[in-house]
Amino acid sequence: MQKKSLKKDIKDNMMYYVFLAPAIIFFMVFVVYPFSQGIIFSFQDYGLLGPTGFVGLQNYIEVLKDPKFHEALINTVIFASVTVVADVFLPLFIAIVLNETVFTRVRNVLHTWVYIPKLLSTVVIVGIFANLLGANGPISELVYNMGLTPIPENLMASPTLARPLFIIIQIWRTVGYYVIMYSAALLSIDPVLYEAAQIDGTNWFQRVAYVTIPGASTMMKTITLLSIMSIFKTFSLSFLLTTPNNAANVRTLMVYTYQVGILEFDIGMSVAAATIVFFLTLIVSMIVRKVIRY
Amino acid sequence: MKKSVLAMGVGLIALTGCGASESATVDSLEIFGWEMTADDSEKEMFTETLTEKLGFDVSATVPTDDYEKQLAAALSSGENYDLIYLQQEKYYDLVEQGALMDLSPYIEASEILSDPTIVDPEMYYESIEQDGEVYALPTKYEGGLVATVRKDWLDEFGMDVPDTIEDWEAYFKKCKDEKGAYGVTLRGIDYIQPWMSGFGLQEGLVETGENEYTIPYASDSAAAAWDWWHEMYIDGYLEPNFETNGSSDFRDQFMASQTGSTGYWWHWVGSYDEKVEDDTSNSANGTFDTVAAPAAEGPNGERILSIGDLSLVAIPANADSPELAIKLMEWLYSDEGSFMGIFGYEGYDYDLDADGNPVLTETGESHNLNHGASTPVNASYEVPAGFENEFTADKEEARNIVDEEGVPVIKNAEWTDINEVIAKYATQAIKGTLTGDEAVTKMQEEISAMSTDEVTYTF
Repeated sequence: MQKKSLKKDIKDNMMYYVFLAPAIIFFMVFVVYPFSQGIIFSFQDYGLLGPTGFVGLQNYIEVLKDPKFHEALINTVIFASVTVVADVFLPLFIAIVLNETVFTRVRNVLHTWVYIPKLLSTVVIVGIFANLLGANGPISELVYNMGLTPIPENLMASPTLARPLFIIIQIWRTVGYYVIMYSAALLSIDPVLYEAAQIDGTNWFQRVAYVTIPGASTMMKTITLLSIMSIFKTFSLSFLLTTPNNAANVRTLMVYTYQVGILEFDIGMSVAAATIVFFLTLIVSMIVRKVIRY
Repeated sequence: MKKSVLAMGVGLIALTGCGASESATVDSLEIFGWEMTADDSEKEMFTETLTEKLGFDVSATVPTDDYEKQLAAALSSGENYDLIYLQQEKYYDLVEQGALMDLSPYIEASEILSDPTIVDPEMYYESIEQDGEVYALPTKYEGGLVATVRKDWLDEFGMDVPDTIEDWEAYFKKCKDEKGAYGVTLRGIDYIQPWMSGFGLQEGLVETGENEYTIPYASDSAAAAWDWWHEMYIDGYLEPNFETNGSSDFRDQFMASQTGSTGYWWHWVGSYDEKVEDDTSNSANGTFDTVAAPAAEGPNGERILSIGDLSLVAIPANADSPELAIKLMEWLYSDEGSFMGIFGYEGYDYDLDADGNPVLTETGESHNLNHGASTPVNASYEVPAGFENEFTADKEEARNIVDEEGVPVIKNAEWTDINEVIAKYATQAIKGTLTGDEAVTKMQEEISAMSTDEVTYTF
């Protein structure tokens, strides 16, 4: 088949391109242009008053040498590894259980309940956990009564618990969203497949393994990618949980970027860090896509 | 076609050029940020008053939230301002970047800015000097940070205001035993200087040579202080949420009688009492009485408080009208400017009586005599008759304490990182994960590693 030139393609499908034009212009203006500007800034000495000249790879070298960047990178990788697995399998399990719930009203109520954390702002969520885990909270009291701490301690600020806490809160607040996505995927599975499997004498587990999971596999792949991308962008949860004592265990790459750029006004270095995060996310996403054949 | 496009381009450049040269001849001053009530009409009155008094156009952009983010966005995108408001902690990074103009020559040339009876050089200039130069000016008198204690409880316990570390410990014990309250509440280790004074320690950097500093909080002698704080923590005297307390949490705990003392700005000493008095649901309403305590006496009889971070204005290095910015600051330090910083605007915050004295309006009352500088920088300024007693005796006493014992906190561009290291290991020592000795050893290791060719940290 002869390859059509772009010019000819535009000429032949003018109407489609006209309709596409606003989206393309929007993308160019608000994504491509700022991104390319960002790349340029990352090679400049760019402080509060704007760029003062090109510094080559200096910003990248400084970022890569900064121990805080290393900590943030390790934290982000740990958070991504654990939460992605949880984001893919936990909501799938919940969605399957909900899907099996016979009473529609009960199912709808449960759907709403699991979705509620997604509607809450991160500040509220952290506030809820602070009340539970603060020195006067019931969990701290329980831990103290069990003799695990010398006094009722503020577990919210514990460096040891910082990572597990981040992961639990992150999973808790996103699980409902992914349950809804899986529920939609499960509804689209042809009921005939279940009937056929039943006629073939399969049990519940076999039906889940051979009908439900293959039916939801595309959604599993989508959620894997969404989860990876969202964890690399996570800011507010890490920002709110960070104290000087636990910062090394909970600061993520986005918080690092914010601190360097906004709090220290080193915009060149901040953009260099953001560019590294972008390419890191891109590479990880591409590898994952290849592995899961998405 | 190509020629016409070129002609249009040349025309546009010419027009832009004309515009730029025209605007450069107009006397105008652009300000970014100022301390004022969240009230648009106040911003207008602020700029109108300055325009009228100074004889040139003054305009202001005053973000109400995300200040640093908006400042960074505005200036880094190329917008020009002649005067920017900033907190002292941000000042050092900007000086290091070369983003601020050196104001030392302007200060020397100005009769007002160089007059020590108007601008106290020790309190303002010396605390922000970088390599002998000053890059910002203060907007108001900040005073300093003191320990505030419950006077009504002290009377009940039959105790005097704590004077030594041992006195404090005895007071904390009474708070716990007799009131079921913690002895002290804090926000991280931000306001602990009144107690660290008892160990002879001073917040911030101490210069030991040319570009050579030591850090008392991370010194060997600080180990005993961190061990003492651990004792306070484990004995249930230190409020255990101190690490995550936000900017108002510790004040609320103090006003709710959950703790017997706290550390914060001097002017809160009377404000705590007023707030509790206004809150009829507070069980301490009617009895709540606070006083400032002097810094705990150190081993050599020294008492050290910090004067805290200053609110500053600086002139960006690319400002168009630095001379006008200096004129504005000179006016703000004048009697007229000091009056405006307290009383606000005629016809809105106050009216003048037949003798020319201000009479506050309802709006003025609600603004609490604060329009950017409730206590002016100008040390010679005298508050009009009838308003001298604005300070309660307790507040006056708090101010006297900080004036007498307050010392500037020396910082530099690395201070944020240094302070994070101190806070991290100090917290671990307080909670008992490390001993005081281990904590200071780790602080010294990490801070020493921050030494560069330009600056050295020794212990």
